[in-house]
Amino acid sequence: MPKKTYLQAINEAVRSEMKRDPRVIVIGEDVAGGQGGSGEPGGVGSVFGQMKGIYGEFGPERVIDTPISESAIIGAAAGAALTGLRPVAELMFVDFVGVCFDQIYNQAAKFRYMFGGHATTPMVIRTAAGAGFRGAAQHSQTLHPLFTMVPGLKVVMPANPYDAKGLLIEAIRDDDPVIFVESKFLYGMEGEVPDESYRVPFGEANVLREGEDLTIVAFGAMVPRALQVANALAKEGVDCEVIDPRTTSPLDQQTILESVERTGRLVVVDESPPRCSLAADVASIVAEQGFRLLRAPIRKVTCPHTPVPFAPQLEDAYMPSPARIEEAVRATVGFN
Amino acid sequence: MAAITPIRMPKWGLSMQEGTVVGWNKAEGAHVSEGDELVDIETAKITNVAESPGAGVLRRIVAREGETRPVGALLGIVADAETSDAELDAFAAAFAERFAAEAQAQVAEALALSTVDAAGRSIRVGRAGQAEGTPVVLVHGWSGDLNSWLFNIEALAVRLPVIALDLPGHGGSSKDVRDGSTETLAETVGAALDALGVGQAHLIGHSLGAAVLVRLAARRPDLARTLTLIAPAHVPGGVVSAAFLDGVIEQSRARALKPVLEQLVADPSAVTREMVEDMLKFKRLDGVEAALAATRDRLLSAEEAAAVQADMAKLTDVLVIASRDDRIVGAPDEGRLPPGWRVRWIENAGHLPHLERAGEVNSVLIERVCGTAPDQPGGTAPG
Repeated sequence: MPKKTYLQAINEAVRSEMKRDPRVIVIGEDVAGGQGGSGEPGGVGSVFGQMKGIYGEFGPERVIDTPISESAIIGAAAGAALTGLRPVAELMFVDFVGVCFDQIYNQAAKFRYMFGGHATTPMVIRTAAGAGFRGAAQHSQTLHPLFTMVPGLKVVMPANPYDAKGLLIEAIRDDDPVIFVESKFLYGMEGEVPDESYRVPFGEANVLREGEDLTIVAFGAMVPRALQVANALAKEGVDCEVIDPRTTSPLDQQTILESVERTGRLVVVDESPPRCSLAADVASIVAEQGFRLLRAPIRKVTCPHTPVPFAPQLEDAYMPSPARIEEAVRATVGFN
Repeated sequence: MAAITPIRMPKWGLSMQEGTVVGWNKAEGAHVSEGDELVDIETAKITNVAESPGAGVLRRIVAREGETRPVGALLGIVADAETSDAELDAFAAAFAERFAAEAQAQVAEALALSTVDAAGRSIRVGRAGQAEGTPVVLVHGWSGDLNSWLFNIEALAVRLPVIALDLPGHGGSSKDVRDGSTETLAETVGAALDALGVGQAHLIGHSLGAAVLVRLAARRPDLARTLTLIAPAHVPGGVVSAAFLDGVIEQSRARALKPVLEQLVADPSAVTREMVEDMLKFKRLDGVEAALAATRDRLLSAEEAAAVQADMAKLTDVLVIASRDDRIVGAPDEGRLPPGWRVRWIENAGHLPHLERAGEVNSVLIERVCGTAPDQPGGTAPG
């Protein structure tokens, strides 16, 4: 199977769906050329090159480069979706969601419900999230908890190239608004990705490693870190199960609870501030529905409740590190 | 010169091209014995430990943690403590030169993948082995693909040309199966062999692939030099398991799919995580769900079974390789087989004897296609 990066997988998913379905369009800032480029084939295409070459292949009718106005991008996409198109809108950095959040949570997410099931809103909002790039407090956040709490939105967090392509194709074919959270940290990650189109279903977790001693649930860029810790600890005889839920809404509660039923111990790793995070959400679900399964308190590994620091040393300390994940696993396994 | 032992990237299975060093269990300068667990290697399919091929001191670690190397490449050097650094340098340089030449030669041996147009459908074909001789054609079973022959291709390819192909709806072939009948699939396989210029071949099929080859051989008697059916669907005495076919189609989670796939084998540990993940990845491809459903519906129909058995009755000199514990297609009833058919029973195997008992099945296949028993029985066994 050919090897591709997470970035290439995203590009391939959009390209193949645009070929398959003429209703699929792309709209966003710099999606044509990018960074002052000409918009010719091979132009940059989005700030990290996610949409590279797509304008050249599909032209201005289907690739709409917008002014810097997130409310226009998302509003136009929501309206286009209502009329039957299948827009893939790009929100360059998730941090900018504030200016267009009304279009998302109070419009797109409500259409199906407000129109009595007669309207569908098949739109995807692709957005880059996460710290670690010296981008400072306004370009480094992870706001997936904000979307996850809104009924009517589906929220996807691919953690590897194979899932990135399959989940994005599923998102584009889905009839509801989908927030597709790309991890800046993973754009360069390589993995096997089929050339053919395929769909990875929402709400089905990926169990990356089976284990008997402890369950680690991790999201997005935290998944490879959790796996690294689990593989290292396996050499000492600590056998961790690693679960990547893939989507935070819907959330595959069943896989998580069944795992904790066997292991009795849970560590949740989420690159978010701790309050109202996915770590808090998963911990509450397991505490509520699986209290009798637990042999130790649930541990959360999150960012601190602060903005993302700009000082490099502080930014590195801000993100959940393998060392912090390992410490949490050891404390949980050692609890008695 | 003192004894120097290279530690090389192992080859675990036919499809492995490269591996990544996860970590060394010994430091440079440590004493090692033959068989010591030396270095953890991760491949696309598996993480496993490579053992030391010799005893001495681990003098050099060439491939560090996180580095990816092709199969056969130098990962480290074991030698005795007296061997000088200059000798080690010379050894590494000579190894690099020899390895480059070997890599060139290996390209010729590997399974070469291509696609052919067969009756309007694209069929993926893997070719390996000798240039001369009557080719061996391998056709996999329902929901499998040409990788099902992982443990058989090498053993056959050293003797004859080998052609393994993906049925429509499977592997890298077009996912359009039309009515999904064995007759339609047989037409496509025939067209693919025509496109490849194959006029006569040793036909070997597994399960659904065996039934497809029965339909093909009955229509084109000149094509089959020999016909060998491994765990064939619709053999007299057997019944295709609807529970298995439905389970494969319906289960989309690894944990739920695993027990379904375990029905395929006698030893459930043969169903690895990777096998389950590969099946899930196959099922997610566009068009596969419909292809599996269409072929399942036909496999389970009484008319289809009757049509296959009617064609079986037209054929003589057919070798069936089967297991008494096959939970997918059942065991053949020897008393009800057509004249000229014989059964070679494989013990301790389920529906996949060519995978679970690869060495034994390879010996049978080689004898069948070469007319003589192999010099060294065994061949490549899994694990």
